[in-house]
Amino acid sequence: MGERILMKGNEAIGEAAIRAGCRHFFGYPITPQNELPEYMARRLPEIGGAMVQAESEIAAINMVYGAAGAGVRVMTSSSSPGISLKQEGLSYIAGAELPCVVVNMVRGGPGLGGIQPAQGDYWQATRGGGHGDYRLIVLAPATIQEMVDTVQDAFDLADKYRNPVMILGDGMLGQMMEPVEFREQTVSSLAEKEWATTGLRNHPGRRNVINSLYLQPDKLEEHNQHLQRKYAEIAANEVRYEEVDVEDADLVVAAYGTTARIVRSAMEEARREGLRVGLIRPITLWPFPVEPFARAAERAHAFLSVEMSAGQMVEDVRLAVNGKKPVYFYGRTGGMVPTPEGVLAKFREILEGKHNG
Amino acid sequence: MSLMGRKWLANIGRDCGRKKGLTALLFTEKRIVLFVGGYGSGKTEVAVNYALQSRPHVSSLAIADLDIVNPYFRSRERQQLMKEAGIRVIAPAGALATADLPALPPEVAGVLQNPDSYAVFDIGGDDVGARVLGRYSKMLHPEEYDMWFVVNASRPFSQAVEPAVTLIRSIENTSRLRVTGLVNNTNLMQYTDLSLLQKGERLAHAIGEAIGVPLILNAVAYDLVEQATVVMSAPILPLSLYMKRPWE
Repeated sequence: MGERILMKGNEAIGEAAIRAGCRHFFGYPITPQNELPEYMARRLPEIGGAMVQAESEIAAINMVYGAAGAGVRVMTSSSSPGISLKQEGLSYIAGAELPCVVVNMVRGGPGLGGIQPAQGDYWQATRGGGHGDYRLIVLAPATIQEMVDTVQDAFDLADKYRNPVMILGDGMLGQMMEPVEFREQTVSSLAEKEWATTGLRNHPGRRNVINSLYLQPDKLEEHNQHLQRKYAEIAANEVRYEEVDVEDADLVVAAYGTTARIVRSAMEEARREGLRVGLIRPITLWPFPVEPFARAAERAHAFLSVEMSAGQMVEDVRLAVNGKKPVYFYGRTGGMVPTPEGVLAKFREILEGKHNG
Repeated sequence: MSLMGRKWLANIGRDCGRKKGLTALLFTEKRIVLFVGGYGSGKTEVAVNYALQSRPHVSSLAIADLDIVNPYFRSRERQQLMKEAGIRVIAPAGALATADLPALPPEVAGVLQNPDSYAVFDIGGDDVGARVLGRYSKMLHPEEYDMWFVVNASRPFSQAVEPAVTLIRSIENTSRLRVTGLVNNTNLMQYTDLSLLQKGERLAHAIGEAIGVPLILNAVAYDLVEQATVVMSAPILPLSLYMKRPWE
């Protein structure tokens, strides 16, 4: 057990990445995630690593592409508009099957939007974001401690599946401080990166090529089929979620990250009022935890997705519930954060049957 | 403020041996107090509490939020609370209030130049945050201001004397002002206990010795104040936590 220390979410991700073996970070400033590149700029040179402030987000993601191709653990971070700029690079990285970790501390959009917290990048993160048939593994921690633990998981998943992993936070999680503990890490037994382009002297007789270009359609289809098999394997093995009071719940709420903590506060009050409300908190947004929702749909009367968006994850909840029960939505946008009181009012409205969708 | 809060206020008034009447801020005879410190050391929470508790002792008081490096959790978010307590809030207004732009309201210079006004300044973290003071340094005469460095020994880069002294020197360089005292705000939120508070006070004393300035006060959350008064040597500023997160 390590010593507890008080950290901002952004700083905690930086330290956790370093402890997970990340020595390369490429970034470009944008609020509200600046503390992460700043932390890396301060710490990485002390331990023989490098933080490069690139000339743009596009440059940064392509530096990540290069470093990942050379087989090192590499990270970049940004916030919504900057993550949009990285989408081309992410598609290339997914196509070339390279491991890396990308952090998005989401802020209000669309466009330049604002700098207050939001969850409006759910679709971008879980549907690909860039062009082509690909998936990111998307992790959504809800506390700073969980963020720390998630970073190690993110690097391990990236290496295991040779796939980019996104940590989807929001400005609140990036900016707020909580006590964290850096636990002793178990050494993960991952295969050596024999595919990495580390120079012929390191892999004599084998030319390693990092590429996402397949001009022959049959070869590209073969590549796509291989990627789809990999995504199916990830979906079968890597779903992570938390359930709270779902067993007896009449209303099951879906919420992730910051919003899940607000829902927890509202649930405590609801239970005091005798309202049976439960929570399914997806930790992996892709792969989405379909099974717990399908299971809960056998028993619960209704579902509610609470988001800092105009309604994005609610579509995945509807797919998982598959028409068995009504699925409602409550959200705030633009950097406005739902209050426990507002969420509780929605619980009452649904459970008392005065809902209007 | 709770009854308990008033009781502690009264004690503090006695402890620091202040003169009777509306004459001075807490723990100082100067009319301007600037809170500087490491990023995330708790300057805002300390400044807000310090202003609220100083208010009864001065005829008028302003709090200036000069944090232009931090996008969230700034003292301007407690504007209403301050107004109700009769404290003037000086902070970027309108659309600029929720930005992290180097936009400074003109009232800042007014407060600094008026010899009858009392003010508490909440400055952004690190030397980067303190740079904003540079342009006001010529308006701040040494006999009129105190600049207190807030330290939380549970924060990264703040757990030893040497990095703290380095940071103090860079803050002094960018602000072109001198640190005149230390504030121990060591805490680990819900995990704060007496031994941690004492560890923080020891570190603050050691930093103070290294640069030749006193430890002015220990900032301690209300629930620990009673125990802390027994074991801590410097005066205590009881803290109510005003900077809440959305689920609290």
